[in-house]
Amino acid sequence: MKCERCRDLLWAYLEQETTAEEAKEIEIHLAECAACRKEMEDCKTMLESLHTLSDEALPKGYHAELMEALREENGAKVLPIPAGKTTAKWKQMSLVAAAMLLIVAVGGIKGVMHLRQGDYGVSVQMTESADETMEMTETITAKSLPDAGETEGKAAMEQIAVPEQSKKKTASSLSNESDEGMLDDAAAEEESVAFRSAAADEAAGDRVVLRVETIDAAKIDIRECIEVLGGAVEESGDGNSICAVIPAEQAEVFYERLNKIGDAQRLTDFAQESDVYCIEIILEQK
Amino acid sequence: MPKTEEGEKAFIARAKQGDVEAFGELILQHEKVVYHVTLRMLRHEEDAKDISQEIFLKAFKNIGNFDERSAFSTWLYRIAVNTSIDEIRRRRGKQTDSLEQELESERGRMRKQVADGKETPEEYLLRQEKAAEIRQALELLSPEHKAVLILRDIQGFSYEEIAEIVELPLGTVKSRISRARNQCKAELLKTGERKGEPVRQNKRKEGGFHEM
Repeated sequence: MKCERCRDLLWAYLEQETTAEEAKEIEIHLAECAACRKEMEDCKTMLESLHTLSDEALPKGYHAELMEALREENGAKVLPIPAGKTTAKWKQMSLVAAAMLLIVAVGGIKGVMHLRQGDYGVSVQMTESADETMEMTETITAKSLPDAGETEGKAAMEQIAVPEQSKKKTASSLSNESDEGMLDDAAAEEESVAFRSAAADEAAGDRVVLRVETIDAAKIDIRECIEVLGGAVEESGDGNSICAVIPAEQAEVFYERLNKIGDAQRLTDFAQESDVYCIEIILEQK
Repeated sequence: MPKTEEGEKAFIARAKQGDVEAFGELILQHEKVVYHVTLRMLRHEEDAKDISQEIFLKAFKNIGNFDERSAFSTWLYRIAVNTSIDEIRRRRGKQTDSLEQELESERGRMRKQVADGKETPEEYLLRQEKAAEIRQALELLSPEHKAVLILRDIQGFSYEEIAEIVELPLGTVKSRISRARNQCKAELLKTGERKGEPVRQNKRKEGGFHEM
């Protein structure tokens, strides 16, 4: 083999893309040609240096910032809401509840996971009562998750321990809101109960409080962890909790990993009767 | 995050309807690659962050035009490469950034690795020097050559994948990568000659100091 031919094939040889025959010829040539040997060393060194440039982490909070920009971009495309168009609050709420019931019934676990996405869509249509509607949505979502596995229904739900720090609405705050109109309407109440039991049937949920140094960094770690375990992620609107859907057999491993990211504390006992576990991780600053 | 091809299709359909959250799930696993390619193309972390986020916004705006004949990732990386190349072209002639600024951010990152105990200070110094040299050599390539070299030798894409990303025949991609490597290697050799083995000189100086 001539030097010129050898050099033409060097890159391919280093990537093991030459034929066995070519590789053999190159090796014979290299053994007797110092210049080509030097050339090959240079090529190899360069490839190795390039490989070292590959290890790079994303800047902190990258995904969150990007999502913010995307939502903003998307929001700009939403049509302006016509002014002065308000109806009775509870009617809107029952519509929302009915919509959620439908989503849950159709979509099962996925439906619950996407409820929060749903409320973006719904809330942009609302005017003055939008905030309250959001609150309602959150309350119902929060309540439906930990309730899984229980068949006792309402009574059991009201006993769910919700950590003070989590800032989620508790059962009592729901009744306060109900006083403002919900309870007056039997249909709305029924719908709400139906929704909750449907959610309980379809989506089993556990909750974990995770105390961490920095919430943004922890989120990235949690996401990575969920990804590695073959699960899916959903971040809540307020950004202080993450919902994970994890294969049941990985749930304990997931909890252990959470404990490495921060101080994890279970609020429920991870006994879901399902192939996949829904786990809400409530993030708190240490 | 969509795990199967079917799952990805559903997310793409939702993203096409303007569902930002679905789009967010789609891009999650590609963020690192896009950021990284952009960083190597544009050198500075700040630029890389801005431009890579711009790339995702562009992708979201144009997802309606994604015909799904290639993988979503391929389509996304194509936008990343093209946007980076355009950005380099746009900046040529009005280069305001300083090499020092770039070195500083790179040093900061590497120092962190030392602090993390991942490598010894000696390894760090050597790597820092090598990395700086190779990044400088990359700068002397045309943006198109730089792009394929980054995709192949830093990101580790296959020739076939790269051909799809840059929409060129496989043969063209292979020869372009080969040319880019040869040029890069030549630049590295020049740098080595210019510096005339500074490591050895330093050692001699240190030795002298200890003898006194």
